[in-house]
Amino acid sequence: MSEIKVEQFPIKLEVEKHLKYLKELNNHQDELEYWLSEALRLNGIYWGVTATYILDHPEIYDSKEISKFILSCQNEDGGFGGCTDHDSHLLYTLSAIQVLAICDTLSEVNKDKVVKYVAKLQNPDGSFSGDEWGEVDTRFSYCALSCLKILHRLDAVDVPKAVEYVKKCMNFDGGFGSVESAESHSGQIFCCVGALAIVDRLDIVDADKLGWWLAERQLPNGGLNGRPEKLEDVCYSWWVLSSLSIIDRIHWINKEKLINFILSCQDTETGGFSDRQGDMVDVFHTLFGITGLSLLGYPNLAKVDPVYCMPVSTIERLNIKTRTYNQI
Amino acid sequence: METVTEQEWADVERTLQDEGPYSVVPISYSIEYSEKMDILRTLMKNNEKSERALKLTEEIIAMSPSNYVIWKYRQEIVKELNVDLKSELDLFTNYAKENPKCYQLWHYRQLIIEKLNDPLNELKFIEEMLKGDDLKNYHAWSYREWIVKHFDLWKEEFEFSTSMVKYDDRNNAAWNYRFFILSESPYHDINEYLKDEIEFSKQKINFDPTNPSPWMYLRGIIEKSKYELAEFADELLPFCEFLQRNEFYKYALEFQLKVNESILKTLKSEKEQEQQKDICRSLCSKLEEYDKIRRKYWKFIRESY
Ligand SMILES: [Zn+2]
Repeated sequence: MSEIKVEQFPIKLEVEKHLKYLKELNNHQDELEYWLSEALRLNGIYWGVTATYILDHPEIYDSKEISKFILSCQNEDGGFGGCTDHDSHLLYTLSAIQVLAICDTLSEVNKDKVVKYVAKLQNPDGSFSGDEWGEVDTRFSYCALSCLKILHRLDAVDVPKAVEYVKKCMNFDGGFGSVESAESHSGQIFCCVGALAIVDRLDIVDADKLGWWLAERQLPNGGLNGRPEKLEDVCYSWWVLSSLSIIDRIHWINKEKLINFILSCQDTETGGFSDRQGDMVDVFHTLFGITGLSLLGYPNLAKVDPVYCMPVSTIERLNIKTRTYNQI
Repeated sequence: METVTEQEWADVERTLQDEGPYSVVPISYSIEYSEKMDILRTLMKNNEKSERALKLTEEIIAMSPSNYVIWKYRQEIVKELNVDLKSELDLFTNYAKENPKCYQLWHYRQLIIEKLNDPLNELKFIEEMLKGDDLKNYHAWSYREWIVKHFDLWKEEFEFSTSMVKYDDRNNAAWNYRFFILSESPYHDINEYLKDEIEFSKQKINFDPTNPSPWMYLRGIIEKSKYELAEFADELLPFCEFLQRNEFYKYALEFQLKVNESILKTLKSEKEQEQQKDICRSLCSKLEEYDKIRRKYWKFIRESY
């Protein structure tokens, strides 16, 4: 196990610039993007807050104010919308619970209501719908199980059934898709492997086969892609990397090359990360660039938990650690 | 700036978005969108199901189709006003073409088709979407699987997969679809197709040994059948060797390794097993050399025998 040193790489992580970028995220109301992303506001806050914690500067945002806003997004049905007065959805409910957990303000939320909302979305086959509109996807299995585990209320759903459904989405190549028979996809693999890790059922995964498929995602430039013959991308790098970490195969890829790739996706002037070098930065890829570096052992970052994509310190405080994941 | 007709919405109070920790300074082009949303929130609060509400949801969808809040509301209005579902589907066909990666647009289609209980021309629509935009579009392929399963439309899909693989043989989604048909269809017996599928994969591999998809498919389809890889060793090992008469190919080496691992499982005597492990180990060493970025993976496999 060799220690990663900043000097090993042609460019360094621009911590100050990223902090500035994250701090100024809410000053972009003059851009159309800001308004169009309204429905995702809660996700955005989760991406931003987690990024500041992994950069080890949690003071960047006012956690009291953030928590207040998050709480104002909870609806009568117990779930959270992407913004105030927006309908509830599992994607935002998880983000809300994650942010409250990170800010240590979970005690302020009506947990029973949240649990009820999540439990109602489980279908008879064990799958979860994203909201009452009915879309089914293994992403929602992850959201539901992660959310309930954080609240220590996995008992509210049928876990064996949930596992059965995730298992059905496993493919011949060892990977997982969004629904039964859907092509293996790194993002969906993260959700399925994460879901199984949360309920301690990783025995279902063919770790060597899946590990091989995931390792195959590394391209000559060091970046990872989401599916065969697709382009490398910082967010996919995180999903592949965290999945490898969860199944204990992270050492199968070349970490120096991956660190190099992630660092090359920073905008060294404005701060923030893009999907790949030269593209526009956004908060989503900024989080996954930073968490990727943390998981790879880059110096001076707080540790991230690969299953929950939250700071390890939060996971320890919540006492929901599935186990300790090896750094490379 | 007059963005939403003033008279049309004169009676509707605006419900402003609470931006929480973000202060609201809407200027320039974001006005139109946020104003529409302000009106929409009021309509939703009043549970108004009217023609104008229907129109407004379409306008907002046109600007931001992934705003999930709109969709359920639109569905309710459509139901209340008894809007013709076929025309509703047609209306969103164009938006789907403009936003081929939007989850909501695909899910809405599925809901409509489910309600109509008729697959209409959806298979053709999906084919157009794939060819017009992205041959690997994840939503389009999953939706096609759903249509085929739901309406029992398996029969011509094997041919469709052939045409899509021929269209672009590096499209892993098309290969995955072919695997889906042969492993799930009640009209296709994977064991009967196996010989032809091995031939088909070999052709594609011959054409380009660096294409990962036919290699993965070949292995997957044999493992899914009632046979073992080892049972095809006499055919497939020489195939891999001939392919590499001039240069090594990573996927060919990997495949040789998988076949040899399968043979290893059939051997009883310790001596034979040891010899077979040597073959596997030497293949791993080659892979360590030719697939440098995954050197540690191959080393791990080599040391695991
Ligand atoms: Zn990305």
